[in-house]
Amino acid sequence: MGSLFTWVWQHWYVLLPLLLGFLAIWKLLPHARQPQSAAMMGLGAAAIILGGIVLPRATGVHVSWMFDLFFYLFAGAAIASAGAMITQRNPVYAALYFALVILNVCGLFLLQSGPFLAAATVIVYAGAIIVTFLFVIMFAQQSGLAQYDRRCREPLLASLAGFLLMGALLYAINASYQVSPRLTGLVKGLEETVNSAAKTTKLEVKDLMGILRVNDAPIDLLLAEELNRLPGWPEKAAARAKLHQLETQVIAAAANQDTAVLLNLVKEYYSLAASLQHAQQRYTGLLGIPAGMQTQVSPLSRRTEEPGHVAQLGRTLFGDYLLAVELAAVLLLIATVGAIVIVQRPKEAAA
Amino acid sequence: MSQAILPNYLIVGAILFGLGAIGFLSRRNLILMFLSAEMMLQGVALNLVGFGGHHKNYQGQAFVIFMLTVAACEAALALALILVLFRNRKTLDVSVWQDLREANQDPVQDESPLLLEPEMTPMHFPRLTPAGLRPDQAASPEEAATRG
Amino acid sequence: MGKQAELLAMIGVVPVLASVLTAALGPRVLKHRSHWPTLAALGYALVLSIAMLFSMSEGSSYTAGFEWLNMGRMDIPVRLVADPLTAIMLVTVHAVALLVAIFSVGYMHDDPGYARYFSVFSLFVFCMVMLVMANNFLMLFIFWEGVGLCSYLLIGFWYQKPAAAAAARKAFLVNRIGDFGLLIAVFLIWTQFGTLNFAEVFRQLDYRYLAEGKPFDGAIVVGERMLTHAQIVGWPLLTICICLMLGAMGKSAQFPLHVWLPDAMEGPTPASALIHAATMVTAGVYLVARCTPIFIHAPQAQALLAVVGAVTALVAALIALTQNDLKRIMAYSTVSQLGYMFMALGSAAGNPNLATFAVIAAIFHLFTHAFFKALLFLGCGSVMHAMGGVIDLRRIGGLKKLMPWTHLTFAIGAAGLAGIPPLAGFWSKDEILVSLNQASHGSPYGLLFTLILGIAILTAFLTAFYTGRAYFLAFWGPERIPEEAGHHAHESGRWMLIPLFGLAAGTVLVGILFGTPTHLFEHFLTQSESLPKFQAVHGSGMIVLVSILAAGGGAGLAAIFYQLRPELPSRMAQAAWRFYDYSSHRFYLDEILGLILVRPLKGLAAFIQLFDLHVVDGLVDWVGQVPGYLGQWFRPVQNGLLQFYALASLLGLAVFVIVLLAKF
Repeated sequence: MGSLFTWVWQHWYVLLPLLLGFLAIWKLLPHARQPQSAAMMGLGAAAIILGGIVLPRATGVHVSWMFDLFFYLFAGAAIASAGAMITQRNPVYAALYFALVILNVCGLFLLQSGPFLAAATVIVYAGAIIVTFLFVIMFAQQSGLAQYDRRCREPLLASLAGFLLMGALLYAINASYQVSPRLTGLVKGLEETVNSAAKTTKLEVKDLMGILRVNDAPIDLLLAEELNRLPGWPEKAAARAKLHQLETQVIAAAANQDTAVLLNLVKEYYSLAASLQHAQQRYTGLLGIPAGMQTQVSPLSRRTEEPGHVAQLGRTLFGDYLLAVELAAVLLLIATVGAIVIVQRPKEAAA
Repeated sequence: MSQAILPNYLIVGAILFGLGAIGFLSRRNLILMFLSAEMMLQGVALNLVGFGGHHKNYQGQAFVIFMLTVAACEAALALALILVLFRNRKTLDVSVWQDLREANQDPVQDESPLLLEPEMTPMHFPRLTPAGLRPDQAASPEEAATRG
Repeated sequence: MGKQAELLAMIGVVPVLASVLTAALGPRVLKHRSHWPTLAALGYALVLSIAMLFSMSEGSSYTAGFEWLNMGRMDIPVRLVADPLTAIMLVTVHAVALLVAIFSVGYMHDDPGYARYFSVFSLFVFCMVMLVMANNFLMLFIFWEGVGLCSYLLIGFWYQKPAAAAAARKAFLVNRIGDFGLLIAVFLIWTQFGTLNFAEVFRQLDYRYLAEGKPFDGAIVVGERMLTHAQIVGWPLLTICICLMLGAMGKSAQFPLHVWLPDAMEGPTPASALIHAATMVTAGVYLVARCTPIFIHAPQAQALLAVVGAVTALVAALIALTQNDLKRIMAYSTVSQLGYMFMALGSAAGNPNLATFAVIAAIFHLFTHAFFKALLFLGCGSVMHAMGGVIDLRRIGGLKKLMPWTHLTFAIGAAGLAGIPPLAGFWSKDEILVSLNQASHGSPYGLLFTLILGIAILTAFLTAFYTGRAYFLAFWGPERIPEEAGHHAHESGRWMLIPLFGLAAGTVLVGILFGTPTHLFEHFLTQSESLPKFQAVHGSGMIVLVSILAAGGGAGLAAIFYQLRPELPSRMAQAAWRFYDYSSHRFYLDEILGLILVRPLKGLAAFIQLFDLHVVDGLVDWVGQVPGYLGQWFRPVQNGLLQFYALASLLGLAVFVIVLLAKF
């Protein structure tokens, strides 16, 4: 129980927006005897803003502030529209909000240099599917709003399930990209030591040995622990060997009272810790996939820096995935035929 | 591209997925349920695109295109099925389809009466002019009904 | 897999293919051509088995197959093995089956179940072939049951006839007693030896120490246990042997389990010829011959075997004396001859050196018997076909002129059965007598075997007599044709005569070609690895003379009784009316069995039925109701609402992911 409490305490910044969003969605879903309240809408907006502050991870290199701006814009609008869509009592409005979700998601696609994909999604979803849905809604609901759009099934349980799942996913993503704060502090401390050591001329073995201990625990142990959080790192074995080597060298140097060697060793520790930090950003616990991994991809699918994205996407589709494209075409044909067959009225009913 | 892009895309994708799941579970309109399912698919598409950018290749986007294809098929079939269901019971409420419950089990009924909200007045949708008539000469719906 | 292995596999596969093909296509496509798959398959298989027979060299055996059951210490592959014993059985089965199948084409034509008949026929050949090619007891048991099933199907072939259905059921149930014994034997072999493989079992019981007179004092490792010789060869082995014997007695219709065989004559005559005379009933003999290495360690069981064989031979022969149904006479003579084979197999009791000779005598008799008994049965079939289904000796007679070819071949078969030299039966019977004679000298059971030898000679005499009686009554004397025959009374057609000629030729030739004059059979069978070292036994002129006298005397007496002085038999019957009554009522064996076996079993069954209805069923019902009551609690969960189900699964997914993350 205690550990659960500390866990909640440590992760309040993820849990709080989730809790707010849960409350907002639960209350905003169509209840039979409750109108939608503006307060709850505000709560939802607060959840989105709070989430926007705490959830995104911006530890990497910024492309540009424009990029960030558009990302926040599109993502926030997509999530807000999604919330509005599922809570709308009027199905027509809900369909329009869905179109809004699609448009914003397409904006996110654009940010990931997928103009063709964005255009295709807009055409297929916002164009074709939404129009068809609206057609069906209008065809089916000529007599105004239906009873069943004003009440919903198990709002509490449904929201709980959805947010539990969402929270689990967010936690997994977060945990994957977590650079341990202890490691960050360690790197920072070592950096300062190295910088200050460059300025001063007098160094005591005792000081240097003190630096190599954090909270009375030897730095080797801490680094080894951090190393264990990196299952997918290819250079893990080498780093471990290096750590081992440094450990013996430090003992030898401390015995010899050799400050110069010891300082060098501290620098080595620094570079090791920094590379560990870097690796923790890229090689993640849960996902374990290094960034920019290109070895497994056929040349056709590889993204080059030259322009002409659509041409490259086409090469991927009609090169690597030619058979799948044809199968998808067949699937579409079958679905078309199936849809026509399904909606056909029986002969006697039609007559 | 920055490495931090991927987790952000994953986060947005997860949120869309969760909201879509809530919509699917709680809304009773068949069409809205279906739209919610499509929104879950959008969350997955964001994941794929994010990973594609992360790995600097087009596989993610190619997969999203396949997803679009399958989603289109799904939409066609689902709409067809919804139409058939609507034709049978004259309603889009998913709760009328409880036939597969356990024998001797009473169907689930709505207990509480609806709170009549002012905004819930019937809505009027535009009616299309019958073909071959100029819009200004088209009869009002009431007249058309009396004329047969 | 060598060439021989392919041969083996083909021999096994071809008949079952024919069976499936006939069953699938017969009723719709093949119709009156349904016999072709069977004929083709049997012909092919016969050629293959003859090829295998000739390619079998010194001490060789071939295997083929695949893994089947493999769990724990149990490893039972489906593996076919062929050694000389198997090869002889294969050739016998295929040759007789082919000729009988040809006969059936003529005999069964226009029957509505034509395709069914040939399908079951092929299936039977498949089962029989697999039975003799099996290399382990489990496979043997499976196909043992398989031939039992085919036998049931063929006895009850005309299932609309109540007598046929009852006979089929009787055959099946009586066989079950024997099969039960065999099953127990298989279990015991598994627990005692830890393997079901023939070769493995025999290796553990290495017989050679006996044959070479070396004492055995090593321990045998079975699984993880060490077994001393005494432990293996003591009472467990005796139990195994008696259980095996019980199985063999059921299948081979030995007293007192013989009662099913005469009734089995309700089936189509060609099926009786093949299954209930020539091949299937010899499976018991084959089993005991195959298990000789086990039996030689249990002389008591072997002696019992000989006693059972002697009693069977004598009783069946006595019953056959007074029967009027031609097929029944043949059936009892089959029982009697099988008793002969059992006598031979048992004659090695306490005298392991004789074992191989005894087996050779039994198998040789099996071989020759297959020919002449199939011939006699087909002759009966031919008569039956011509006489409109009547084979009552009181109503037919003097068919000599009407059916000259059938008469000739039947005469050859009868002479073969009676043991008239130089036909097949003489040679094989002579070997059995020699073996028994040998057993009566210098064996612990000498006195017993002297008695058995006497019974054997008496039986030989009786056999000759009743065979002669049947022959003379049916074919000599004034011509009597029952009205059922109508104007159909005619000699049979080509399809039926050709097999008769083939089998007649076999009856005449196999004895001289393979028997004592050439010792071919002996030499061939002694190559079998599993048999003890062969020690030649020389027959005495005395035995030959007695054998010829018995056969000739019996046949001559029959000629006097039924041809020259036809009034004698009824006077005899009056003089010995009590015996005549016993014999014609089959010594009331059916009734006795009914009283001591069927009645108590029925009572037991009634009790068990009550127990089952009230105790077992009650318990089962109660167990069945518990989930029902529990279900009352969980039933509302299944409310038919789609979203409720989706909610449950999504909650489950969320919990699953969270647990996964918490562990991570």
